[in-house]
Amino acid sequence: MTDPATTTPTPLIPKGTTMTTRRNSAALLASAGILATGWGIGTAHGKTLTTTVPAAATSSGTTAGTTGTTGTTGTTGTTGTTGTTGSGTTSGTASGATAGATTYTGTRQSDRWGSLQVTITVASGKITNVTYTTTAGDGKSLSIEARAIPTLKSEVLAAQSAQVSSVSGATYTSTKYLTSLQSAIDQMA
Amino acid sequence: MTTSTLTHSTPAGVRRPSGTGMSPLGERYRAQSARRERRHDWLTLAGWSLVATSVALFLADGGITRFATVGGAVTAIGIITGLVATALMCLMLVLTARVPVIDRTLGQDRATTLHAQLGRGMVFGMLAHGAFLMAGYALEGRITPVATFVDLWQSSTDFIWACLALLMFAVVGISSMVAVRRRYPYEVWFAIHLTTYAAIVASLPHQFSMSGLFAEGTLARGFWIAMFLATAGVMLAYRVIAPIIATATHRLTVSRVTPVGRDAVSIELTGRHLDALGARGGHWLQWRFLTPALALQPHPFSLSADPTETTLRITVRNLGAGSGRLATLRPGTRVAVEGPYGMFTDASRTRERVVLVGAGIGIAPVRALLESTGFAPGDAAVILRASTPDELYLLDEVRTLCAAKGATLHVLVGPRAGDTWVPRSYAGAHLTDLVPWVADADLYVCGPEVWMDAVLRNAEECGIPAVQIHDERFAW
Repeated sequence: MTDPATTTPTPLIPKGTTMTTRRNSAALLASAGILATGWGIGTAHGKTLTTTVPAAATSSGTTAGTTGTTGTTGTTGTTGTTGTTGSGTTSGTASGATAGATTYTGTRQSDRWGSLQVTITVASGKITNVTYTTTAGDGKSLSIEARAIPTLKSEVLAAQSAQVSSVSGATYTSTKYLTSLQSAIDQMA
Repeated sequence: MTTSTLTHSTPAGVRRPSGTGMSPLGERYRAQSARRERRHDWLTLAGWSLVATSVALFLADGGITRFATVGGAVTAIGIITGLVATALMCLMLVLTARVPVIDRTLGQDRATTLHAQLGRGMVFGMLAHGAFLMAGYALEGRITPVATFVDLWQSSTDFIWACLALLMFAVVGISSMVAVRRRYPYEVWFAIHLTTYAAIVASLPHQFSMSGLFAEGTLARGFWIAMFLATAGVMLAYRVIAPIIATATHRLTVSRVTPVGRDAVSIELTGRHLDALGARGGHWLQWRFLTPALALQPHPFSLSADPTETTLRITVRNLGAGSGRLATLRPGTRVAVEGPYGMFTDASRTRERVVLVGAGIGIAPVRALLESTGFAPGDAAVILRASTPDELYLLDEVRTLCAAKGATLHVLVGPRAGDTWVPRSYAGAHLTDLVPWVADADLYVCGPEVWMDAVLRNAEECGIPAVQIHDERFAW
């Protein structure tokens, strides 16, 4: 072979690209399946999350009904349980003890984690109960709300105003809650 | 002597009628190749699935509803890019963790190439994550992105850590993209990667505290934690624990250092239970010679002979500052090892015939592979290439092995002809001219990067299927 040949070689066999293509398309197909599953789960969940919220102030008599909405909104996970328990006890007290009470619903306060709306029950000029609805869809926001809002509520009931300090670690929730609360209180006058 | 061709056996290609009954060796290599392809399928599937799952977690959390508003859609894109970039980051780490199944399937050099490619995607993904989220939050909250940023900066320390992480990722990513990695001294490269680990750690808290997706009590949180733990576990197992065990078990010491040619040395090492190390001709290992001057630098070198139960040998050219000092190694020096790694071995064979092409110090692994790989007499060809005759390292050993095993040897010496891989005296020659049956053989190529690229181009022109081409990048 001392003398170099100069022929151009003819390509004989196709490159290994068909194998690579098949492999990647299989992987893509599997990925699409995973995504579709995720999407499916998300849509199934979404139905319980997007609950519409009653508008403005409702007249007297509607106590337990309205409060019940709180529970429905928070149906996911642990938060849901908290919500249901909370509304269960309070609505029981409200409907039993305070006949002729009025509810006022505050303005809807939104930020990037969702919106929050507060409804107060007023009997004989006193705030006897505070309920809320939330559109927060993610677990973290819901758990922050579940932690902070009972504290805010008891402070509000004690102070009978929105002038209470916000809960640390839940600044956004506190702001939304107290602002909506203030607008509900404003409607009392 | 500028060019010469030494033929030790009858020229092959005239002997085996192709297409007829396959030899046991051919069957074995085809089965081995099929198994490797299947492993590759599974690994590809696993990688894609991880990325898809990260996005699916977001969709399962009702993420699609965010697309109802412009701000929500921008936020959603920000979340998705963050998820994908993080999944890619874990894949990148696993790719460089020297996991045996990945090494035996992709080979460490391809895994590293893939690591670098994913790295680009990851850095852009992270930057997009930050930018889209600022824009999305701003749109949703009807404030400026700057106000959003200030807001988050003041409300969360985890966000500050995340910003630091992003900054570090950007610096690392851009510096490794702009400059070619191998140009860095090892210490700089090491510092860059240390920064990456710091960035990963700094990015962790915000993923769990700020994203609602991974809130406490969610399945997604469990998955995400498992992903990080698995990545860390794999890295710890194969990059820290396995090398320590190998070093302690085999107790390697330098036994002899012999000059080879003008500027290279062969280093022989002895140790215990070397069969358990699983090294074969063509493998490379990370070597750490435990002297005060060399202990901090691991060197990747290929074996230059098939290992025995008690000995290993490497042949090293004095290239970098570190490998220059290797000539002064004293017998008795303790050596720490990681490995063996690479697919430049018998384990990547797919056909019964084989062609080995080595240039310069790249001849060392070719010589070891020639010794260890199986072929019938006449079914192998070896092509050695050098600019000058004194760069034909280990030529005598290769010649002896070729004669003993029945391989054809071609020696091509002289400056390169243009941008081809052959010397000027062979200008215009192709692989098929030297080895007519090359398209039906496994082709192993090892040598300087530019030269190797030329060989691989020619291999493609000669119609050698990609699965039959095996190259080891020797750019260290």
